[in-house]
Amino acid sequence: MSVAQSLKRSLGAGEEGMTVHVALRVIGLTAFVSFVLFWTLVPLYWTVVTSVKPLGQVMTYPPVLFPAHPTLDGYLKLFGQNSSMQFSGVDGFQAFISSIFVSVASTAIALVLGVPAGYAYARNPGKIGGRNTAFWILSIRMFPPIAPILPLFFIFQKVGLMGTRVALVLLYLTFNVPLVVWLMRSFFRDIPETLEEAAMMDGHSRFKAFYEVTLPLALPGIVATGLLAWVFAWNEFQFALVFTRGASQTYPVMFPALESAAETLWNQMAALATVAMIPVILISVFMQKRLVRGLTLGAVKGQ
Amino acid sequence: MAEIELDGVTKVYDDSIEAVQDVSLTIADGEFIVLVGPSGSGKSTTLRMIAGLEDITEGELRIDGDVMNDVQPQDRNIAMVFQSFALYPHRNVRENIAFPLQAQNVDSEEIDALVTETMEMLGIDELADRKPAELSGGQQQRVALGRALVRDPAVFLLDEPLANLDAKLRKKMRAEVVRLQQNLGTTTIHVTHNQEEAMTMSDRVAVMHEGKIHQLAPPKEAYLNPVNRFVAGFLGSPSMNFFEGVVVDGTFEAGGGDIAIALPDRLSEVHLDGEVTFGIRPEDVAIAESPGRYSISGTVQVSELLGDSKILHLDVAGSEFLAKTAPDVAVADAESLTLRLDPEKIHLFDGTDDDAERVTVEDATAVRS
Repeated sequence: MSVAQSLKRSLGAGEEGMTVHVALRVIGLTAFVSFVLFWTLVPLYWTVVTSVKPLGQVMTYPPVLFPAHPTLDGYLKLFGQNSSMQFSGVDGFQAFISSIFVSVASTAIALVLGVPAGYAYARNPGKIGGRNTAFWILSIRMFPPIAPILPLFFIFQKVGLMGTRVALVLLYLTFNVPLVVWLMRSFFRDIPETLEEAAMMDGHSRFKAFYEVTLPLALPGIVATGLLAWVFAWNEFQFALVFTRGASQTYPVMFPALESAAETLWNQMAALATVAMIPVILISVFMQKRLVRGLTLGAVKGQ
Repeated sequence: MAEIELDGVTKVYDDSIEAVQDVSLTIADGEFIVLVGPSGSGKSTTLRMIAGLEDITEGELRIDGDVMNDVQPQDRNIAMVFQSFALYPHRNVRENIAFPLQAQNVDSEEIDALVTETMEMLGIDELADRKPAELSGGQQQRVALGRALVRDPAVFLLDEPLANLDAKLRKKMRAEVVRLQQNLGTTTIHVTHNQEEAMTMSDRVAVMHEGKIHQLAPPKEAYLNPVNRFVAGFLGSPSMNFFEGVVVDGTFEAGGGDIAIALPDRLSEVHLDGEVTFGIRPEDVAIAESPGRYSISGTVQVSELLGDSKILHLDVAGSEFLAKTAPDVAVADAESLTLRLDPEKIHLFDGTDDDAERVTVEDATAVRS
C-alpha cells in the first residue's frame, strides 16, 4: 500500500483530490526534512567519527562508517605534551584558552559599548547624528576584511600589538560593535518608551528607568545578540591567522598547522573541530528558549 | 495637595509646529479638570508638559507657586496613568504597584502594607502574583490606577486611561475614578477626546482645539453656553445642528431663502454683518402640528431608536438636521415633519468657522443701549 493510500484511509472521509493533496504535502515535507537532516547531520557525524579513527583508516575506501577500534589518539596528540603541531609549537589546549579569552572578551566589550549605543539610536537618534552616524557604524561591518589587513599588520607591529590576544579582541570589536548596535537598536525600539516614562513618573531617574525596566525586557535580545557576536569571534579565521603568533593563536589557526607536506593529520583536525563545536552546541541548547524569543522579539510588538 | 498654574505655556516642535499655544490655566487644589478635544488639539502635549515628559518651549508651569519648568518628572511628585497602562510586563501586580514606593526609600514592610491596602481598595488583591499579560483590560487598568494611587501624589494625570476599555467597562471605571478622586481629594487632570467623559467626570472642562483652550468652564456651563461654534459642536452627542446663512431684519435666512427662522427677541436686535451660523441642539427640537414662528420643516431620512430616545435624521433644505425625540414617536421614512425649535436654546455664532463666537444677550443689550 502506498503512503498516499494509507493516508487516505487514515483520513477516512474527505474528497479524493483533497486527500491526495494532503498526502503529497506530507511526502514533500518529509522528503525535505530528511534531506535537511542528512545535509546537517552527516558532516557532523563524519567529523566526530573521524576524530576517533586511527589516522590510517581515515582515507580508506570504501569508507569506514564506524571504526572497529575507536581511539582517542587524535585528542591525546592534540592536547597532549607530544603535540604534533609541526609549525606552531603550541598545543590545542593553549589554542582553546586563547579562543575563549578572545571571543568572550570581545563579546563582552562589544555588548558594553554597543548596547547603550543601540539604546541611544532607538530612543534619541537625532542627538547622536541620526542616520548618518548609524550608517557609518553599519558600513564598518560591510567593509571587506581582507582590505585593511596589510595596513593593520604594520600598525599593530608599530604599537607592539602584533601577535597578542588584545589585537584580536580589538579587531573583532570592529565587526561586533556594529552588529550589537544595530541589533540592539531594533530590540530597544520594540520596547515601548511609555514604560520608561511611567517609571520616571513613578519617581525613578532616567537611568533607573532604563536599568530597572528596559534592560530586563531587552535581556533576551542581549543574549541573542551576544551569542551571534560570540560565534563570530569564536570561528573567525582570517584575522587570527595573520595577527596571532604562538600562545595567542586561536583554535581555527590550528587547522592549517595540522597539514604538512608529508601528511595531513585528519584525525587531529576532526578532534579539533569536535571540541570547537561543543561549546556552540551546548550554549545553543541551553539558551534555546531565550534565543528564540530574542530572535523573534522584533516580530511581535511588546505589550 | 497642589494648585497648578499654567501661565502662557507654549510648545513648539521642530521650530515650527505649534502644538500648544499660549495656554493659561489655574487648577485649584483638589479640583478635577478634564482637557477635552479632538486628536491633535494639544491636550496630551499639555498634560505631558505638566508631567515633565515634554519640555515647555515658552511660558511657566507652577505647582503650589514653585516654577516646575526645569524640574525632572521624577521630582514633581506627580503620578500618571497612561492610555496603554504602561504596566511593567516583567513584574507582577504587586511589584508593579510597589515600584513608585521603591523610589522613595520606604522600608519594605511599609511598602508591603501600602501595596496590600491599595490592592484591596481596588479589588485586585487576589491578582497580586499575576503578570500584566495574564490580566484583563479592566484589571490592568486597576493596576495602573493602583500604581498611581499608592504613593499619595500631589497631582494625578490621566492620559486617556479609559480609551482602551470596552464601552460597558469604561462607564463603570468612569464612576470609579470619580469616586476615588473625591475620596482622595487629589488635584486631577484627565485628558480625553470623549466628550461624554468630559461632561460626566469633571469639575471644570477645558475644551481644546488646535493648541488653544477655547473654553474653560463647568461642563454644564460649557454645554449650555458654549463660547464659540467649535465648543458648541464638540460637546453634546449627537452634536448641535448648524445652518450657515445671514440675518436679515431679525430673521435668519439660509439656503437661498429655503430656511427662514425668526430669531427670538434677545437675538433679533443684534447687528450682524456677513455670514453667521445658526445652531440648535437635537434635543431642543420638538415635532409640531403646524408651522409656527420658530419652526422648520424637513423630510425624515432615517430614524434610529436608541432605547431611551430616538434620533431622527432629516433633510432640511438640503442639509442634514438631527432631532432627538421620545422613543415612542411614530415617524415613517420620507415623512414630512414640522419641527419647533425651542427659542431659548437657539444659538447664533458670528461667522462660519470654528472660532465664530456665540452671540450673547450682552451683545444684544449693548446694541440696544
